[in-house]
Amino acid sequence: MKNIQIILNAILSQDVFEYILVDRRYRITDFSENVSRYFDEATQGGNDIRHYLPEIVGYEEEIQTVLEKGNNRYVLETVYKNNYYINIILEYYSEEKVLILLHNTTEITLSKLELLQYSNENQLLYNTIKKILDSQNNLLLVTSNNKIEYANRKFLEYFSIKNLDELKERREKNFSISSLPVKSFNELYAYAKDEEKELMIGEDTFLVKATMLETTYQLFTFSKVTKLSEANQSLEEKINRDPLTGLYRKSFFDEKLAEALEYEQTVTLVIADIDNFKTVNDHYGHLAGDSVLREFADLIKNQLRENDIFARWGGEEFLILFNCSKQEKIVEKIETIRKMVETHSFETVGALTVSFGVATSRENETVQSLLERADRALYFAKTNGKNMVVVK
Amino acid sequence: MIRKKILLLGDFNVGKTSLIQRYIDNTFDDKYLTTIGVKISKKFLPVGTIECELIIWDVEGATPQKQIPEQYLVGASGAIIVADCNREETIENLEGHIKHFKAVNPDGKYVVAYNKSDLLSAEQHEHFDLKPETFLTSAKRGEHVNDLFSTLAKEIFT
Ligand SMILES: Nc1nc2c(ncn2[C@@H]2O[C@H](COP(=O)(O)OP(=O)(O)OP(=O)(O)O)[C@@H](O)[C@H]2O)c(=O)[nH]1
Ligand SMILES: [Mg+2]
Repeated sequence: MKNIQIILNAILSQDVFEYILVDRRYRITDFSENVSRYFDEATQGGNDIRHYLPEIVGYEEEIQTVLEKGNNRYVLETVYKNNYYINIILEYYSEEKVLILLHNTTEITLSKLELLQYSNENQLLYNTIKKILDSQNNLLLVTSNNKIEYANRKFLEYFSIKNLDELKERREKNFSISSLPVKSFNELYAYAKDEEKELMIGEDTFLVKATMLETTYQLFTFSKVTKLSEANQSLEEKINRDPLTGLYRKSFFDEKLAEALEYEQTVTLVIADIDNFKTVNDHYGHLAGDSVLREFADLIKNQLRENDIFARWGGEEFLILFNCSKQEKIVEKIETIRKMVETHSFETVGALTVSFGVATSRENETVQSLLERADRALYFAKTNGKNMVVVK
Repeated sequence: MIRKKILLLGDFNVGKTSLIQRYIDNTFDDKYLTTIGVKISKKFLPVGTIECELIIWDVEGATPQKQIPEQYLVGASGAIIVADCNREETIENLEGHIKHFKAVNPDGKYVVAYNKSDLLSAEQHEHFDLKPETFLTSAKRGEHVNDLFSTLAKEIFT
C-alpha cells in the first residue's frame, strides 16, 4: 500500500516521478504514461527493461535481493537520459515485481553542473599556475595577515619543507621556519615594498622584493645572489672538462703534469688507446662510438683514486697521471684494468681491448719528453699485437 | 543478447567522454564540457554468432574534492582507467582508481589509457614504456582508441 501511495503522490506532484514495473525476468508489466520521454523509443509492455534502461545491466543481483528481501532499495543518482537528469530508484513492489521510479532532477543537476564546470576549470588553471610558479628559479612566498598562504617549490626546497601542507600545519611557527632576520612578514613587506633589498638568510645573500596582491596578500620574491667566486669556480670546472666523457681536458692535464715536474715529484704517465676504435665508428656509427667512450671512461674512472688525474686526449686516447713513484705497482694496476676491459661487454658493440704505454719521470724530465716516451711505448704495443701494457 | 557493463574511470578532464565519443561517433570536440553523474552509451559488438552489447558508462571524473560514487561501479565486467599523459597527478592517481574498481568488482578486467598522446613530443612518445593492456591514446586523432575498447571487450567476452 505504501508504494502505491508514493506513486500517486509522485504522479500528482508535477511529473517529477515516472514509474515502471518489471517482473523477475526484467519484463515490463506496467508503466506511467510519460516515462518514454527518457528513452529513445516508445515503451512497450513485455519488453526487457534493459533495452530501455541499460543502466540496469549489472544490477541484476540487486534486483533479485529487492524481490527476496522486500525492504532493500537501491538508488542510482544523476543519470543522463535523453536531455534529462534522473535518479533511478529500485523498490520492492510485490513478491513478483520490482518498482522502478525515475525521479527527474534536471533542474537542480544543471545548476550543480554549472558549479562543477566552473570549479574544474579553475582547478586546471590553478594546476597550470602552480606548475609555472614551481618552475621559477626564485623563491616565491605569498602571505596574508603575517601567515604563509603559499610557497613555491624552490622555497620549500630551500627551507627543507616537505610540502605546502606541512608548512600550513606549522602555521604558528611559520616564521621560525623561514628564519628570516625580521620579526614579521608585515615588517619585511615594509622593508622591501619600494625597491629590491638585500637580505642574508644563513650564509646566503638574497635580493627580496615585496608586492601587494589584491588587498590582503603579499607576494615576496627572493632571488639568490650567486657569489662571483662560486660562479667562477663552476665555470672553470666546465672549461676544464671534456663534455662527452666528463674527464679533464688535455690542457688541464698538461698543466698538472708541468706542476708536478716543476716540484720534482716522480710521476707515472699512462696513455691508453682503445684498439681498432675506427671500426666501431664505421660499423655502428658515431653515436655508438660516443657511448663506448663514455662507458670506457666510467669503467676506468672507478678503478682510480681521487688524486690520480684522468683526462681525454682526444679521439679514443686517454691519459692518466699517477702521483706515485712505485712503477711496478702502477703497471700491476694497469694490467688489471687491461684485463677488466678485455672481459667487459660494451653496450651495442660487445668486446673491446685497449693498449697502454707507460713512462715514469726521470731527472730533468719535461712534459714533452715524458709524453713522447709514453707514446713510443704505446706505439710498440700497437705494432706488436695490441691489448697489452708496454713500459718505456 | 549478452550485455556487459564497462566503466570509464579517472580524474576529471583526462578525456573519458572524448574517448567514448571517438569510439561511438568517430568525432571529437575541443571544448571541455565536464560530465556530472553518468551517461550510458551502447555499442553492438557481435562475437561470432553471439549478439553482444557493451554498455559503456561515462562516469564523472574524480576531483580533489570528490571521489566517484561506489553505486556507479556495481556490476561492471570491465573498466578503462584513463589518465592524461601530460598531467603527472592523473597518472599517479591511476592506481587508486584501479583499486577502487577492483574492490567492487574483484573479477573485473581493466585496461589503462594514457590519453592526449597528440600533445606529446616525438621524444616524449618514445619515453613511454607501455605494458600490455596499456595504451597511449589520442581521442583527438583517434589513435589506439579502437584498440583500447576492443582489447577490453575481447577480455570480457572470451
Ligand atoms: N589534445 C587532446 N585533447 C583532448 C583529448 N581527449 C580529450 N581532450 C580534451 O580534453 C578536455 C576534456 O575532455 P573530456 O572528454 O571532457 O574529459 P573527461 O575525462 O570526460 O572530463 P570529466 O567529465 O570532467 O571527468 C576537452 O577539452 C577535450 O577536447 C586528446 O586526445 N587530445
Ligand atoms: Mg566527461
